[in-house]
Amino acid sequence: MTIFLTMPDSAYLTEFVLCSKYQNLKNMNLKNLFFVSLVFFLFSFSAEAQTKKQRAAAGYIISNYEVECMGTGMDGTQLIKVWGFGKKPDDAIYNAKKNAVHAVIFKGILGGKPGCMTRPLINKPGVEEQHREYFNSFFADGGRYLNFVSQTGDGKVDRIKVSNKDYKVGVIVAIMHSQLRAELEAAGILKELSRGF
Amino acid sequence: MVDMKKYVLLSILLLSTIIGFSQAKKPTLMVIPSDNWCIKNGYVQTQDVMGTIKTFPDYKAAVQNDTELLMVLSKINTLMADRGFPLKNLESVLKTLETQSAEVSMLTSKAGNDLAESPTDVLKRTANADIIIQLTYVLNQVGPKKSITFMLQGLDAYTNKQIAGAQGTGQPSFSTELTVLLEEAVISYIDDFNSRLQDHFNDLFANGREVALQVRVFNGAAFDLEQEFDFKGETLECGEIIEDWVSDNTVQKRYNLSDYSENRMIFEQVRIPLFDERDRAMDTRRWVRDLRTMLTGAPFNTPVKIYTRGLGEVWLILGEK
Repeated sequence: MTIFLTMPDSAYLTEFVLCSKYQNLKNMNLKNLFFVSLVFFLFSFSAEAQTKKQRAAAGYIISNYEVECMGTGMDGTQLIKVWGFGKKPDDAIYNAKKNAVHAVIFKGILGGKPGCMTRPLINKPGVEEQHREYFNSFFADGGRYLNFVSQTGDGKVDRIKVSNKDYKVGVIVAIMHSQLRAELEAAGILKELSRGF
Repeated sequence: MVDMKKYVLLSILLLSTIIGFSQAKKPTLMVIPSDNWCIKNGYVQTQDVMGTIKTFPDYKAAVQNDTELLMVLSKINTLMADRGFPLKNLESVLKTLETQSAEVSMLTSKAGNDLAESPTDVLKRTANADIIIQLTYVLNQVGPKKSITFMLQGLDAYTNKQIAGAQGTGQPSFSTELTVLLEEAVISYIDDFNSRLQDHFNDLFANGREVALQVRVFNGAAFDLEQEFDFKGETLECGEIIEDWVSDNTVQKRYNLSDYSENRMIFEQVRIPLFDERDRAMDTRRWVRDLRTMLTGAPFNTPVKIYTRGLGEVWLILGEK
């Protein structure tokens, strides 16, 4: 029995190598695609979970809002531009006002023009938790926080449609921080400057 | 039994009332223009001190001539009063000092005796407060644009520490007047300043008032601070006994003995309680009284003079009154 061993010609060999490479590549791509999808899928879950956690922790507010100083108003007032989210632009404005009061109480206004309080009214850690019941009622829809914020300017707002369902709206508001401080002092959350003397 | 209960209840009620109404001694605050501002604006006095010409701020000339300064002082005073902490007004304090000087020099008793006043009393008749709010502002001009750089520093007069501060440069403007820019600057920075001041007060209530104590010796004293005594079963130097007393009578034993020689001891960052054991408000004089009593008794038996500087600094001078 004679066995003919033939060497493949170079063109065939090249084609074969390319094909197998393509096949490998295709397999690899599919695998990669699967893993990437899986990672994205899991990440979307964890991101969603994080947001839910944040919401739960904050109780009444999503605390990752943007805020910047626009200047000083009259005595005890500061002008700030704040962004809010909502399913309708009006909801977003409503949410932005809530964020503005929250920023003055808990965050301070660090960016933007000069003239705003860089320090928050409450800078002691744990006070928000300690007085959770008070703040839940204060920041409830239509709550007392509305007494300390008013929209300024000619009503112009910056509106961005972030998804099919959500709007992000930036609005300039005046915050009456002196009155806000007086309210928190009356509630026993903040100390008056002369308390104890 | 019923009577006993009544007494107990009454005592608790009385005690709680006393505790409820205990109030610490309130520090006085006053806004003054900084030396830097006074020198830049020409409100200075020069004096020849031992052959060296020294420059001092002239506050009276500043408040009498500078309307903008007066406006800023007035605005800060108003805003602080609105926030429940009225300040001493520099202009009024200066006027009172002048009137008092005139009255002291004119006042005599029916027998024709003058009021006793030592050179130190005269020296102490100056505008002073426990916390000095030092004010500086500069008008910046770039072409037609004007802006204000504004600085407030809260300085503790006794510890020389800056306990609060707020500073920054306002928005540049083409047409706004200086007074308006200044007013805006005050409104912008006062609440941040107050927030820091509040932190200082919170610390004061939590850890006691921070004061300074100096122990010195008169030339004619019978012994100095390195003299050894047998005291409570130990042989210690007078200075060491004083240090032990300070350690026992400070909040959480917090103090810093920064200098100790045979003639003087300097205690800094001494934290004294705000109230004594009978719930009376404490100041440095009241605090150091027990130390004086200890030193006037055996085995020291020395007269001791207490010299106070406001709420936060006291000198204890051994050997004479």
